[in-house]
Amino acid sequence: MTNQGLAVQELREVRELRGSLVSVVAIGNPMGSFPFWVNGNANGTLVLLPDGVRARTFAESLTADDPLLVSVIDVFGRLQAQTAVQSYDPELTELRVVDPGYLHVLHRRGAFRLDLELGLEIASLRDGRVVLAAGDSLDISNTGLAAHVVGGVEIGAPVAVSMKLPDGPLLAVGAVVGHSGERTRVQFTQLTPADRKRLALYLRRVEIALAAQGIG
Amino acid sequence: MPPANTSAGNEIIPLAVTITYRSTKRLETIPATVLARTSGAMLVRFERRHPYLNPGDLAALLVQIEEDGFAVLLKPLDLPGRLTVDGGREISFAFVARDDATTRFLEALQARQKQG
Repeated sequence: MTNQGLAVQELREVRELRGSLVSVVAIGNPMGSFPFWVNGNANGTLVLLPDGVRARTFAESLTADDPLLVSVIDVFGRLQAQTAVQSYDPELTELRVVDPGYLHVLHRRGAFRLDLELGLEIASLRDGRVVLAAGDSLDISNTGLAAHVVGGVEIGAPVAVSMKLPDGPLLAVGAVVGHSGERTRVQFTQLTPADRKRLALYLRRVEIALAAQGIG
Repeated sequence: MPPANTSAGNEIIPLAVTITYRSTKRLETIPATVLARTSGAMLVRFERRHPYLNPGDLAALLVQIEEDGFAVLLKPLDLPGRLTVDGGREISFAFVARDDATTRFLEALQARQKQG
């Protein structure tokens, strides 16, 4: 794993993660991701503690040099590093892996798109008249969404979008910035600060839930 | 920023617009008329049909002026608004964002004033 060429702000030192819960995936292993606590790093070794029986069983199944991905979701987005197994101590329940030194930003939070189907309604201008359409989101980020919209919407059209979030509808205005097949991409141009935070928290909750299921 | 009204705001050539809001079940659009505006708010007149908004609810203004289309997020300021003698209703809305879209919309309104 090399972090050459990445800007400093795209990195986060592993030592900052001490006491944090991270997600560990064995590359090429279909078992999914497992939660581990970061116990510390020193002398080229990162020590991880399995969180729960499933994670411990996973750790026991690993052998030296197995490649792993360690990732964490924080305010910057999803950060990830590739590493490799050194050893597993069943008595101390410690998984020792090569200290990657840094995690790099895999998805910057503002632009990270989450595949998420939400019912939505779009009001758009067509020849000076407002046309209402229903649709489903295909992916959503903090800055926009892609949706399948019945009837389609013209590129460049200003739109009002109502998204059906679990805690109530969220109204945003934006502009249609492109089509790709049946995907209509909308960039949000106006959200209230409260709704921006609400959307970000909702997306983060879904992202964490998907990560816990080993999806995404 | 005081709400737009015909005494504190700038009266304009009445501009037909559409206000889009989320009712209890769905997105709905209602024709309306912008009567006056300040840099931060505007006064909108509805005929007999008007949006049922609660404090904190948002609405969106969708309007085409000349060749340009605008979408601007609005926050109602004086719910339930002022009932007029002919059964209409006037509600002041604040612009939620001070961004390019809002600025361009206000400039388009300004241009219409000059034309008048």
